[in-house]
This record gives sequence, C-alpha cells and structure tokens, in this order.
Amino acid sequence: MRIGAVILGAACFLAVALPGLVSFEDYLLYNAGIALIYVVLATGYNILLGLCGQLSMAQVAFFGLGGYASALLTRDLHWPWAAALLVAALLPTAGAWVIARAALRLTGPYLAMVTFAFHSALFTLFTNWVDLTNGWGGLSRIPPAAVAGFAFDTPARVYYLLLGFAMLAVALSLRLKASRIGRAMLAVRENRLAAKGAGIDTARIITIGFCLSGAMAGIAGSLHAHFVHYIDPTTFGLPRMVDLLIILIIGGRGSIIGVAVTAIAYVFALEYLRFLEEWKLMVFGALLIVMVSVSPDGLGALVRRLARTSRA
Amino acid sequence: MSEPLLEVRGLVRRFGGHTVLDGVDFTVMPGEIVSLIGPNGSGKTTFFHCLSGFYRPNAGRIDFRSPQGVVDLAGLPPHRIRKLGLARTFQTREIFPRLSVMDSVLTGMHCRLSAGLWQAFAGGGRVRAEEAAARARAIEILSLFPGRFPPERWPQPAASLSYANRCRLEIAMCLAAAPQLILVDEPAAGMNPHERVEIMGTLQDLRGRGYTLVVVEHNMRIVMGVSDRIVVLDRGRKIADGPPAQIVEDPKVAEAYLGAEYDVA
Repeated sequence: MRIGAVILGAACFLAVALPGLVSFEDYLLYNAGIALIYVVLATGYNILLGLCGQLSMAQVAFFGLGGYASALLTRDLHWPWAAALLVAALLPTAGAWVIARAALRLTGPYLAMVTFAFHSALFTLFTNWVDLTNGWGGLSRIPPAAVAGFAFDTPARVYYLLLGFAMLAVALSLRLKASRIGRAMLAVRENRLAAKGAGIDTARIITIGFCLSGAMAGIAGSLHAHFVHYIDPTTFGLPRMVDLLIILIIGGRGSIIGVAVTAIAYVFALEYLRFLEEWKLMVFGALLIVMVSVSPDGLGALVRRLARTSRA
Repeated sequence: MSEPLLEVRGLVRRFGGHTVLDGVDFTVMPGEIVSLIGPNGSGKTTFFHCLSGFYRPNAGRIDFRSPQGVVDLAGLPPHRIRKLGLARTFQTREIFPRLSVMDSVLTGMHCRLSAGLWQAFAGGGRVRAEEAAARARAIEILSLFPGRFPPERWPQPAASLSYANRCRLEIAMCLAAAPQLILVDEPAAGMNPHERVEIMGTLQDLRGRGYTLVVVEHNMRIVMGVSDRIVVLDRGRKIADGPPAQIVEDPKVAEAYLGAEYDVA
C-alpha cells in the first residue's frame, strides 16, 4: 500500500510538472489533455458500469450531447463557458434519467441494446441536423474555456484546467465508492434481488448511477470541445464507445484508479501506435484477451494481487 | 396478553388464473418462533414474498407493528418494509459474491444509515463517525456466530463462504437492519446434520435475544425443535395452526402431506 501511495504521489507530481518539462508546442501536452478528458469520461462510465453494473452503451452519446451543447451555447449564443458547462452537465443528466427509467426494467444485453439505440439516435442527430450541428463538417472556431475573464487559452493553462477536472473526478469517485451509496451500488451490481432484500432502493441507486455518469460525460464533452476548438460526429462515434469498454475492462470495472490510469495509457498508446495503422486494433484485442484470462477484474486487481504475493 | 407483532388477514395472491394464496390469516406474537410448513407448492415462499414486498398481494391486509405504529405492509416496496423493521433471507441463499463479509453486513445496515450522495462527496467527520459506528455494530453482529466469522474472514469475499456460512451471513445481514421480525426461508437447506443442530441453536439464540422469527423449513426435526407454534399451508390455505404437539396429531396435516388415502391404522 505504501509503495502504491509513493507511485501515485510521483505520478501526481509528474502530472503537475509536465508543462514545465516539455515545450508548449509539444504534442505530448495535447495528448495529455485528451488523456485527462478521457479520465473524466471513463471515470463517469466506471460509476455506472463498474460500480452499478449497468452495461450502458450510451456514455459517448452523453459525451457528444455535452460537447455540442457547450460549443453551440458559447460560439453562437455567446454564453459564458461556466454557464454552458452547467448546461453541458445537466442536459445529459436529464437524458440519463430518462434512460434510467427504461433501464430499471432491463438487464445485461437488453439494456445494452436499448442504450445502443439511444446512441444511434443521438448520433444521427449529430450527423443529420445540419442547421444546428453542421453535420459531418463539424463545428470549428469553438472559443477556449474562460471563467470571469480568465481564458484558458495557453497550452499550460488549459492543461491545468483539465488536470483539475480529472483529479476532481477521480477524488469524488473514490469517496463515492467508499461511502454508503457506493456500497449500495456495488450491492446492486453483485445481486439486484439481494440488494432489494437488504433494504436498498435499487431503482434510486441505478438512477443515481446513470445521472452521475451522464453528468460526467457531459462535462468531459464540454472540456473536449473547448480544448480542441473543433468537434464533429466522429468524436462521439461508436468506436469511442468501444474504446471506453476496453479501458473499463483492462482497468478493472469498479477500480477507480485502475480505470483512470488505463484511460491515460490507452490514449497515449492509440497515439504512439499510429504507425501500426489498422493493426493497432489487433494489439488491443490481444491485450484484452490476455487481460481477461490473467485478471478478469482488471489492472487494479492484478496490481493488488502482485503486491500481496511479493509481500508474502 | 400483548398485541400481535404481525397480523395478516385474508391474504390473496393470484398468478393469472392460479390462486397461490387463497385468503391466508396469520398472526405472530412478539418473541415467538413460528414455523410455516406445507407441501411443495402450498404457497410458503409466495407468502414470504408478499410480506417482504417482492409480490403485491391481490387482496388482504398485512398489519405490522413497527416502532412507528401499526402499518399495513401490503403493496409497500421491499426497502420501505425493511426500514419498518421486517427483514428476510432467501431460500436460494442470495449473497453479494464479490463483496467482503464485512461490506455485506454493512450493506444489510443500509436502511439504518443516513449518509446520502452529497455527504459521500463531501466526506467530513459526521460521515466518518457513522461509518465507524456501523463497523463496530457489524463486528458485534458477526461475533454472534461463534467461530464462524473470525476477523480474518471479514475482508474475504462472500463467495468464498461455505453454503452453511452463507446462510449465517444472510441472517447477519438481517440483524444489521435491527429488525422486529425476521423471515427465515429454509435455513437448513443444504446443511449437514451437524450444521443443522448449530443453525437450530442460532435460531433459539436469536429468540433469546428478543428477536421474533418466522421460519419456513422442511426439516421436521428443526421445525419441532425450535417452534413455539406451527402454521400449515396447503394449496394456498391455512389448514392448521397450533403448538408442535397438536400439529403432529392433526389428521388434516397428514392428509395434506400424504394424501387422503393414507390410513393411519
């Protein structure tokens, strides 16, 4: 455990010092920003799939909803970013609440299919409502995030903004997992009948899980839009959903740190394995198979197991 | 004579055209162990499901004397019923496979703890104090099963427990809710004779601590050993209700189990 804390501390220090270590034009910093956005997105998904055990395929749809809402409100209606961020969080929360009502009657593959249909519907909206979203052409010239006149318009500033949100997402999720509500979520995942018998309002817990993960996806969407200054439907396509599932399985469903670390590693791996072109999917496929057979509960469980055997 | 803890009147539950519970009356006094027996399909588990909120009865009242007063449980959701003071176990040993033994008991305590979503995020002294008190209470409950849940077992996943220990864990999860009444569904199923004697001791010990129990059980040695009163169901109707000695003599009970042609002579 102490070694784990030291490594975590070193990682946090490195994360904070990163802009000083690399040149601002460095594309490493750009990738780090994307990685941090994926930490928020994947951590939100982890609350729903990892803690509550609800296999939703709609997480990326909420990511897109937040991205488009925030981009349009700031760029076209000149809203301040903070207000747009709030809408970008609340709109997916409302969508997630609606899906949760349906999800209460469904489990496993049936839930996956309904949420997949939701993603398809929203994706069609992104591509076909050209007047609003500019279709495949995407939205460009999205202004940088700004709060009370302070614009996050340099690489270092926006990096720290993203780092702040990523750390907040991880810290709050860790607290949630250790709490009474988090325990109830795990109970729902483990055995919904027994959770009901144990006095848990399972409908409420699942609804909370959907809403939290929707809100976090929407926030990640806003961060993405104002970081890249450009979004189009491919940013929110089904392949991104597959990315999230891979991150969750390798990181370990329910392991907050495991998934956050994997999200960062995955984004960098995608970038630096570009030379493999289509073959990189083979690499991830192979990694997935190895992971599921070696440690079905993911990286977090694997590290814990290794730590235990090395101590013994 | 004190007031009944549970008073069920005219309970009816139908599935399509099939009437599984056909106007059942059922009373439990505080401090009693009542066994509910009957042939397979007589409606015992359906009765439990109605009492605990998993099924909505088609007709009838379930008056339960909770600390807040008498409440009709018919049609209330399970989490409300649990909070009012009625806890249950499942015939199928429903546990949380990957939750630890400790976390399972704390989950059973859910309705007695108050920290909500925002407190979870904010943390703080009150939430920590509640968790610490909950843990202490959970340890107390686990120690009611001597030798079965030593400290080294607390962090182990519930799935690692033996079948008999899963039943004990289910009972421990019930106790965590500080209930007035516990419904125990087939506690001895899948147990060896030695474990059956032990579970009998556990049930009697619980009564000694002031808990009231309704037990569904097929093992007659346990039923005869622990019950203050036995209620017999047959095809959704109550056919007998009385102390064990009276039930074994009842010709209607023998007939329900063995058929009308059975000749006692």
